[in-house]
Amino acid sequence: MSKHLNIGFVEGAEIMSHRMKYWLFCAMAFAAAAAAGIVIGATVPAAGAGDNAALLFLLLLGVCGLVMAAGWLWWKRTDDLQQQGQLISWYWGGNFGALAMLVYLAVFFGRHSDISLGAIYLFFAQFVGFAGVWLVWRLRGRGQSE
Amino acid sequence: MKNCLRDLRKAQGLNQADLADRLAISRQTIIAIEADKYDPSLPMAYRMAAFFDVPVEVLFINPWKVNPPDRPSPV
Repeated sequence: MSKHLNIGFVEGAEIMSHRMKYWLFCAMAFAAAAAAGIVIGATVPAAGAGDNAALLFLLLLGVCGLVMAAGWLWWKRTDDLQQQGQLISWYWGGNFGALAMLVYLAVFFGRHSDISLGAIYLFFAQFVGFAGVWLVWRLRGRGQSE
Repeated sequence: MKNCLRDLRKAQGLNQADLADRLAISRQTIIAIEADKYDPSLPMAYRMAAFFDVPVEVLFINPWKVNPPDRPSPV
């Protein structure tokens, strides 16, 4: 056994390698997202709001929280480089993709069409989520100013 | 940032996948650092240095220090 085993680098490595854990949690995150999609599809009416829409909304927010928690388990197993790849790709690629789709919907379906308004709501929600997380990040990074 | 990760890894008889697993990071990260395409965070740099039992500045060459002739000039 290598001397490195004694300083905590490979705890549990005999059972499962880091790479295997990474892909296992990655698969679990995707499975959680797929399961959430099935739950949403099975509980939400195809058109219009159902009875107890407010309650259903809260329950499904909880389901979304579970999806994020599953993603968090995977995220904790990513390293600097992988996190940087995700952050850069989601920021630049994700935002440009969303903007391009927003413009497409507005041009081909009209600015006030239901689908365009839905996309705009989604964009606003994305911004609110960004602002909330950014604020937490900013506050957690505070230190003593001198 | 210039580094001697490849040399230290080979001296231990490890391939990139082995080292990645020992450090609980991705093989892609090892490859990127060895190719001088990515500078790791300070915690990761210290973790690597601890693994090889060398000071960080042996593993990652500090380009801002006065360099002996065999060291690269500051970037």
